[in-house]
Amino acid sequence: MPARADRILKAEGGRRKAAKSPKPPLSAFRLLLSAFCLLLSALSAAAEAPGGKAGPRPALWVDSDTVSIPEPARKFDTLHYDFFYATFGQAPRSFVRRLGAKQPAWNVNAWEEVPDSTWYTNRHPLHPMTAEQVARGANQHNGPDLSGRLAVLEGKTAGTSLGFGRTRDSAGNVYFIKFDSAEYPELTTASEVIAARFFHALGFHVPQEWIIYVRPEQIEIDPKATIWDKNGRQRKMTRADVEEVLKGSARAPDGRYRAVASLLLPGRVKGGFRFHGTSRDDPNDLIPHQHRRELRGLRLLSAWLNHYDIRPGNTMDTYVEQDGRKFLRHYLLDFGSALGSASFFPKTARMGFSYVWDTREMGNPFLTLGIYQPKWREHPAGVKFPSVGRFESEMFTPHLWKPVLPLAAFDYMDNADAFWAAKLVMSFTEEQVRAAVREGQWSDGQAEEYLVRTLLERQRKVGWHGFSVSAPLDGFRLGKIVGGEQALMFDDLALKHGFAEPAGTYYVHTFSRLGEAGYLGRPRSFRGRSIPLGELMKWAGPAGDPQAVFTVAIAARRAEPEFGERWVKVYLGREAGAFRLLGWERD
Amino acid sequence: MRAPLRLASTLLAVLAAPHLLPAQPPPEQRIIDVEAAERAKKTEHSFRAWQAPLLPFLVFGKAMEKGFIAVDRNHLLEKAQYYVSEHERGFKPLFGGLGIGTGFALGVEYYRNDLLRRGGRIGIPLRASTLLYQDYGIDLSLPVDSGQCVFFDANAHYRVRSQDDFFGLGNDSRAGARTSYMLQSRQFSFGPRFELTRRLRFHARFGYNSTSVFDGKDARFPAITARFARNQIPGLRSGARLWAGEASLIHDTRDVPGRPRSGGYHRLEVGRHQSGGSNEYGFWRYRAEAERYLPLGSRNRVLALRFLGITNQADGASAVPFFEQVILGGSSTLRGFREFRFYDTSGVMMSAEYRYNLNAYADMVLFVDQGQVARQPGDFSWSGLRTGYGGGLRFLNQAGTPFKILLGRSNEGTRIYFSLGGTF
Repeated sequence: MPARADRILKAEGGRRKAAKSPKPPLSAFRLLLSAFCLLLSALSAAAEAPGGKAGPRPALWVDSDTVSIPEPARKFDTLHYDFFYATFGQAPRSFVRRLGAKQPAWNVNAWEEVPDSTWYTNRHPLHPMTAEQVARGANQHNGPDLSGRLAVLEGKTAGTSLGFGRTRDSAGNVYFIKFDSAEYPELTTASEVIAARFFHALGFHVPQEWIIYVRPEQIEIDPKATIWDKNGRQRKMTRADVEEVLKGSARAPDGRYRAVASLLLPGRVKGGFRFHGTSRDDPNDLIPHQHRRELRGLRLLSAWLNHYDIRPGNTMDTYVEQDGRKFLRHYLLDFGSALGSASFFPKTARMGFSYVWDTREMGNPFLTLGIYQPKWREHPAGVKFPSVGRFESEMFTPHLWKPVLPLAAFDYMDNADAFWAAKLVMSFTEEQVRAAVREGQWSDGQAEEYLVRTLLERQRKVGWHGFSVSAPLDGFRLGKIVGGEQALMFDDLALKHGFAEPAGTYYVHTFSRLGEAGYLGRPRSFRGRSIPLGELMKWAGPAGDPQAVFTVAIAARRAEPEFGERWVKVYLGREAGAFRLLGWERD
Repeated sequence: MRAPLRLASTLLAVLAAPHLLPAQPPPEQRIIDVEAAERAKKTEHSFRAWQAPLLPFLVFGKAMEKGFIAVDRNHLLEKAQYYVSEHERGFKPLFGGLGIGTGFALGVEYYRNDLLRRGGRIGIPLRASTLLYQDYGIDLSLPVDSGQCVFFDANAHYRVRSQDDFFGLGNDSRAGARTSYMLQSRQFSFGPRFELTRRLRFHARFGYNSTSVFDGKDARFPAITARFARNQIPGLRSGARLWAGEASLIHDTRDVPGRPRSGGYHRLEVGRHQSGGSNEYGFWRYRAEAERYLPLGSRNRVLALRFLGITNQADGASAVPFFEQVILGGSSTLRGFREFRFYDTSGVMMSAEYRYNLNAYADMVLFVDQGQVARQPGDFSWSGLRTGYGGGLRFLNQAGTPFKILLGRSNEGTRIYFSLGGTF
């Protein structure tokens, strides 16, 4: 019983437990250490807003960050600076963050969801999408008009893949064109399109993209087209440049070249966004990016899709006009290094397991004189299908997955963010996954099947992680049970997705009044997924304070030892003699 | 009359206005406390007093950001790569290449890779270092056959080594007897090279080398002639003018020669050196070299072994000039000792190096080197071996080891080596 009481106390922040714990003597060393941590905390957290107060969060589904703003200046992204900043400049902050308490994401609404904004739009599963809708992605029409010629307006200047910069089709729309390398047909284009479909369904703004097949004679050069050649000189583009791109690109048996066409984003391009802080010249940007749930959770979403090259250079802000307002919209782009691809070649063994410069990954071999080497380095996964690249699920560990550079928002991901991301990932059915993968237009059915299977296996791992680090209880709602008594009902995602056995699962709950210590009644355990609220109503009193907020803390206990006891607090208010749901919050 | 009418119409308009205007959209809300968030944002983007100690870092970071943006926007890296790398013909900069302890060396080379036929190359390198080491020359390589298996190589160089060290001859020379000397040499050579297989090649070389010796330019140490009599050290009095003929057989099975993880490198060489018009200097040189790279359960752990043995066998009363003798010491031979630490006519050296991979760009290294110089191979003894040990980092790229930092220790102290290229 005391053990159970302790666990329940955790749900209330462990106040009593902390008060009873004997304090260690305060040595000079501890004082110095505390002062050092305080100083470092000041460096890292001085700009952060005060933590959220206890209680339900705002019941908002739209975060209105579309107020008209003056046109911001164009920002330029540089991989080299991003590398130095993320690898060395950010390290002290990350260190401090690990020492200190985790701060929950700021832009979370009463239902533990992310409201729509210029960063994110709730799609699947909140607004369930069909497999066809997932497969269509962000695409609004049928792609480039290939009945005529494609006019190259500029050579490709960024990235490492083969292709052209702005290219105009017969209908006058402008696209970016990217080819597969001759050694790895279908690798880049399929990865690009499939990942874009998933990220769109997951709620992010992405460009519209299609796989196209073009004949060499269809490609013409605009008279004003220029190119930065490999020698770093800008010059007029010639036919030889086109031929050189095509020479290194994969050619289909019918002589056409397979490519991905990415529609020019609407609005004026303003450069990528960073994964920390706010943008100085965007007054709508008030939430530090490391405190945006969609950017924190993007870590697990990227892990699922192995979107290794996620970094500021592969994001884009555009200054758009909508309903007479002008504001910035934030996009993810360039998914050519997702899944098993690293642009025009398969991922190396390191990608997804280690940053470009990873002190921790280097530290273990260093300290053990090389005797310890991570498994991915000792026994790297092979490339089973050249068109899929290096993409596996056996060694994949979602929370240990790493992108190319350390990103602050990823570092800030907490358990609630992980649950949010896992819930999104697990919401895709096999049919939807197959529909998205089919968009890769594989010539090899076995490669397609392998990718589907691997994605589903990785999906399970992401789900497992997200549902084990946070209470996988969701979809709270009020209803009536037999006898007309009001009850709090919920879903158990661990059961729904088969991570736990119903027979070995039961739940515990406590009632309390927000802002008051102690519980109303005794903790109760139960098996069903509904909690009768009659007893709570008795405690609250029919004529009690109408402003009072009540908390129902719930946790699941399971036979599977891997699941810890995680709590979720549901907030209830009163309305016309009954309870109304104000929201919930995960510990 | 007009005034009351106007007043009434205005009043009517004011009262009716809310009903005539379109409905206002609901107030827009943010998910956060806007005032608090704006305050936080203002704080984030303003300079705070506690940041004063960090000001240099902040300025450096900002400058770095601007600098990198300028580099990327103007494609400066591509430009730099273009000018550094070799094309069909042109000029390229040279960095280093004059050996360890020669200071920071820079130079330029004019080259043509389209000489006479495909595969023919001519290069005219000019380089000098901060310590006034110099190397000017011309290198020529021509394929003789269309299959590019037989080449004709030739080169001619003028070199100045302004302050090499000399501690005396023999394994027991004293570290405290350090002196400085300068070499000035004019050399040319030519000969065929046979690429017998992908892994086996044979070189033959004939040439002439005229070397003069002077007092060194290193003011920190005595000149060589201040400590050693001119007739005590062969070659010190008037240098040497030597004709040379050499042949070498090389068997190379390394997987990536610049950063091998498996395979080996084996070389046998024999050469004849003879002073022109006199028998003052005349000797045979025999050289055997072997390197093996053994993966220890994985390519991430490699045991690298090396053996090097050289002997110069002088004819009768002839001698071997000291600058043509075996020289041990320094980052490429006997680590833990100074460069040019030991001179003698014969030398033997063994290295064992344990390399383990930290990431794609760095290997950690632990090594033990043992070496000895002697007058004759029969004079070698186990007790005479000098030992150095240490460790360090090898920085890697796709093709090789462009840079390394090593710490070596021996009974003569501890030495840190920053050098271009791998040891072996």
